[in-house]
Amino acid sequence: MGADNSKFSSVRRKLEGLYDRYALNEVTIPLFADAQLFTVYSKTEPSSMLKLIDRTGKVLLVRPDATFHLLEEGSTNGFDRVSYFTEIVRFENQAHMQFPQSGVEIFNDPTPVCDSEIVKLAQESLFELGIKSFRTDIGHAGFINALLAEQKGLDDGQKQEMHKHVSNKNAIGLAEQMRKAGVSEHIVEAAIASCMLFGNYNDVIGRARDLCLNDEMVGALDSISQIYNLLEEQGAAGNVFLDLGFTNTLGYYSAMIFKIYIAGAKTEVISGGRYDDLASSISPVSSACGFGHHLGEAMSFYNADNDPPIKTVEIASPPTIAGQAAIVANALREKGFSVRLEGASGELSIKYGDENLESLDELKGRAGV
Amino acid sequence: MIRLAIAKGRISSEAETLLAQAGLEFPSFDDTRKLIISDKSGLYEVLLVKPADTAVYVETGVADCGIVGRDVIEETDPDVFRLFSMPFAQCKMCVAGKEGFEYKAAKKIVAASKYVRCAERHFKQKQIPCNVIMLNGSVEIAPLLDMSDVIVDIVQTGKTLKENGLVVLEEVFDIAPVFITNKAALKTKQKELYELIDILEKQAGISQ
Repeated sequence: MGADNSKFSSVRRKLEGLYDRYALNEVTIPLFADAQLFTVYSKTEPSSMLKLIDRTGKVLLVRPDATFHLLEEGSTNGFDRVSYFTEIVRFENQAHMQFPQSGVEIFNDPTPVCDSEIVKLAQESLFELGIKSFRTDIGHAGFINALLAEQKGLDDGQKQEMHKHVSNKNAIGLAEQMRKAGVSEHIVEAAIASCMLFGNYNDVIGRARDLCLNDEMVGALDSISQIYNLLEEQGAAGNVFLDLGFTNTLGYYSAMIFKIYIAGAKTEVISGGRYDDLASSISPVSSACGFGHHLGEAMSFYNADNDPPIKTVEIASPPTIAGQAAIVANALREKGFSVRLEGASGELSIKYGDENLESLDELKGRAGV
Repeated sequence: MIRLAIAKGRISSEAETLLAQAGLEFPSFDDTRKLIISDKSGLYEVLLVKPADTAVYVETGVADCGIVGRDVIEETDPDVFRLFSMPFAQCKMCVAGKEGFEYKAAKKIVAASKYVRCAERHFKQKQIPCNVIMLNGSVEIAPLLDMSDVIVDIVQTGKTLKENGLVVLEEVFDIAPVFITNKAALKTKQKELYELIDILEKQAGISQ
């Protein structure tokens, strides 16, 4: 546990530095969220969340998500670029479990510049941890939305089920359901093809354009192209692929969706996208784009041993020179040393890393203070 | 290396034949007591697991991909990619009961099934109020002893139903083994997985 805590601290320090360079305000995520408000926002199944009832009878959820609170921060404090570190509580494998998560949201910027900034920052957050082997897949919720909108008369439940089939690349289930619902065959064919629209950008964007049945589908692809081109101009498109099977299963994302996968990881380590419709429907924020970084997964690929070592110093001081020892300790801490100062009944003892030193002057000389 | 979880039983027997025909040489699945088996090339490793657990191994990323019956997928709804069905070990999920029982006309029915979610979903779609009793096997007994009105179960030949005086009242969905992949693995091991997919599709005569 100690080693993990130290690793987490190291990861956090690195990401905080990165977020500072992207001019983000760090906010604290509260432990509880109002269940009623949250359910409107998330559209996820509330029975899977950990709940408490306060003394007024209001049902509270235990930290189910970070974005909900960030939207409130964006509205009330005027922050439009925010970051956070928190533990999310989710029901997985038959138990409520805590997952360390970090993330970033940018509000009120509906442009592709913001989208590409978010994707670039997500990539940078892995580079910052020394993780270089990963791939970024970008899609657009509007593509499948617009395709399904071609068929009139589908209800929300049917569309949700179809979105789920597409996101599971379940062409068989999708075809069965669409044909049962009486969807026109040319739409069924395009939807089946969309399930497997993923891979190299140039290849996929070409195939996707051939499937477009309306201007909205073309618009979704144009939007992805703009984001991709911006990333390419920055030299950040080398590991970017497309996946047009990313869909809006829970009615959350409305435009760009992206996921980052590390080779060898069991699930995506970063996921995010643009959710303007949801943000503007529940808050004064007009647009929102961001990502969540699943730190537990990323930490297993992060090697803290590659960090420059923090020099540790241990001083055990007799009462006669305790004041001088404290002054030296403080000077060392200001220079970035990790110093443990404690009282001793015997002689002065100083450990500088693995070395034993004789005096405070020798320590000052070695440390350059 | 690609790790493939295969449901033990009829699916693993058929898959073993398919893999052998495709030139992937594994020790016989039936002759070994090993549950993890490597092919001669070292490129593939097969996990022989219980059908109900197959998708769990894939969803959690322990296996990159798997072959499992659609019945398991429909019942457990794992978060995996479901790429294609394979043309063997086919059967059907059916509603069965005593001959002449008009379950669609009933105001409310009691069903017995190992596949509770599939049963509940089916009757909900049909707008038939239903109470589903979970049983792990020998579900045919339930309507015989008036424990339930109907059963929802896999039917292959219909022989077991017939021997117990039951008949298929309605087909729910076709079942075949489904090739599934872990969602991250399909992205990070795309080339290797597509090589296996190509081999399996060609051997099974599946066209994209």
